[in-house]
Amino acid sequence: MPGTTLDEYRHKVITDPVHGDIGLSQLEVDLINTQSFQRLRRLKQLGLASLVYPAASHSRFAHSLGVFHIMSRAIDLLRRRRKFSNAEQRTLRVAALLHDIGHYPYSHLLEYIDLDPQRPALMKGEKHKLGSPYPDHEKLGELIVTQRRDIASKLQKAKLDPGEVAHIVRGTHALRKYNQLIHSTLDLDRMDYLARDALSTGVPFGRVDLHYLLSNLDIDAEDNLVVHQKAGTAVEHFIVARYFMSKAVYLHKTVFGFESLMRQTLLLLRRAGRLWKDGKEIEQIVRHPTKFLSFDDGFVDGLIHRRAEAADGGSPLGRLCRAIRDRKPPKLLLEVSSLTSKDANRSEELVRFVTRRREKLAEAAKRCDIPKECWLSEDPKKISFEQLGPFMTLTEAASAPPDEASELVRLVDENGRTSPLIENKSSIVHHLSRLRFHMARLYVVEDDPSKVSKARQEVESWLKP
Amino acid sequence: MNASQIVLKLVLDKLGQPLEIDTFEKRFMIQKKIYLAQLTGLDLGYRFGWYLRGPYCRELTYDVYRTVELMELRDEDYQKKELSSRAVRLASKAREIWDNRPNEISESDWLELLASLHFLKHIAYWPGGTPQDFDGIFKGLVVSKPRFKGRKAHARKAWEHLDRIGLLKRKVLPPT
Repeated sequence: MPGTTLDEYRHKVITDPVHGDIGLSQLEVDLINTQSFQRLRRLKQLGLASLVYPAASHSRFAHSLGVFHIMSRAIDLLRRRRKFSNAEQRTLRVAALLHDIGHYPYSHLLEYIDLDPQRPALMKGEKHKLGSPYPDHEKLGELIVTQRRDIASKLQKAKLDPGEVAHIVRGTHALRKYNQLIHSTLDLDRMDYLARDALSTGVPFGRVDLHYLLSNLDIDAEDNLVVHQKAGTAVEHFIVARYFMSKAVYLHKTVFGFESLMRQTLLLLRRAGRLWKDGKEIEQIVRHPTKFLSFDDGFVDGLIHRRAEAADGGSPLGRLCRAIRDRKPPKLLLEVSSLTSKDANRSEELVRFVTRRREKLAEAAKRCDIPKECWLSEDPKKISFEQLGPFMTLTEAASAPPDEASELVRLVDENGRTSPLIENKSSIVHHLSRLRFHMARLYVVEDDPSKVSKARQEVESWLKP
Repeated sequence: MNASQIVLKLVLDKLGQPLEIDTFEKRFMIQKKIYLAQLTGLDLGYRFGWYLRGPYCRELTYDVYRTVELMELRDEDYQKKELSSRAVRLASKAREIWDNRPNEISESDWLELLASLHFLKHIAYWPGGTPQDFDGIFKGLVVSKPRFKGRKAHARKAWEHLDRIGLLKRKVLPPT
């Protein structure tokens, strides 16, 4: 039937290994074909994970299309329930497509790296007086959508307001139901990356029953995205899979070590004035017709390679850059982790490690003759079995208010009643919610095995009562 | 603690808001006070979206939980640091934003109204353009927050207060 919504959104079909066919309208294809959108091909979704899992080099471009596909199914459901008009569906699909367009090279590693040198400017006696902070990626997304001609002109030509699309992407539209959908109740972003990351790493834990989950999506009376109760087991698997994927891939000793190394390298590059000066400069780059096209992982890789070869290659920054370029993983000196009941006292070992690491690190660096910049302290974020704002467990989630509960998975029964999965006492997730997983690590970037061995002995001694 | 967490803790101390997260009320107060405090020019880098209970920032929630976690791990680095005199001045100025609360409005409602009206006036996107008067903004407020439907008088007081302190004409207060 020519002219139907279905027809409009099947102008072009892209085949995706996770979702199969992804249908697109003419406008959506035109947006994807812009230089600004194509930049996403040059951002790796999993950062340096490919140094451990060789095939894990899929791009943010592929992930963006995957999230768009899931969101577009939800949007279509809402339209069929007459919650949205055809015109609103068109706008929301475009917002879903563009919602990740503002990502930085190396994504959050770079986006957040700016905050640490930035915030001390608010502290007494601070020497680093920096300019405006780097904008978050949603702000960059807003600038791209409204000010880059390739995107904005296509939207205007299709009679869409770039400002409106940008505000939906940022979650600042006055109509809250738009924001709610894109920054969704069910974490659609995770639904894609879990399946995609599992596929590309070869780690089987993330192989969730995505198709069954998607075909059981629904909308409740308050416009929340929900899943039919019959898919409850698939949801449980999804949540538990996330936990195992975190442990096996995202917190993998070497993957996380490289991530930590990259974070430290970017911080030192920032302090050395080798990265963008401030938020204003980033905004100028985003507006610039051609400079923005190099705002990608390759640009950062180039900086790192140049520093690795620089005359001062013996400096801490030079060492870190060489470790990345030559794939020399940071050595894990010590890891302390615990999986305990939420109400139990913290592991004494964990407390001792974190406390002594803080107190004794500078001294240990001197004794082991390893520059303190080459010691990487990490406390990976706590893994929870359900996302409700970071670090909140399911038990806390059960009584959480609407804003904070916005990421809770809700099930709907045959009578249309919805409830958070965590309230279901027959669900394994309900019981797992009483647990929390903590981890603290210390890595060092050092080639000399005798120095590493000395450092390890020193650090292990911190655990003695 | 990293610099962000130290600054957050020190700023909350200056705002007279305990860094406690055991109830929704306390977490809510932190969200709204940081939103309003940033309007003085004390930019902590948090950017807010439009949620059911007004401006809300996930990154702030993340930092709050993380900082509490570190304090529980006896990380007391913040005790060795002080805010700059400018930051202290702006934090005092921030308290003036929510001072003079009418007795009949609870503190959490007052903060929610101030933050929400400011957000709708200066930050939110309105199809067809941002309404310029109170009635137009209030109409949008109750679409997102039906619980304020019968409380137009309270909302008007918050609106007038924003006007008195200069936050209707300007998105942020002028530097002092």
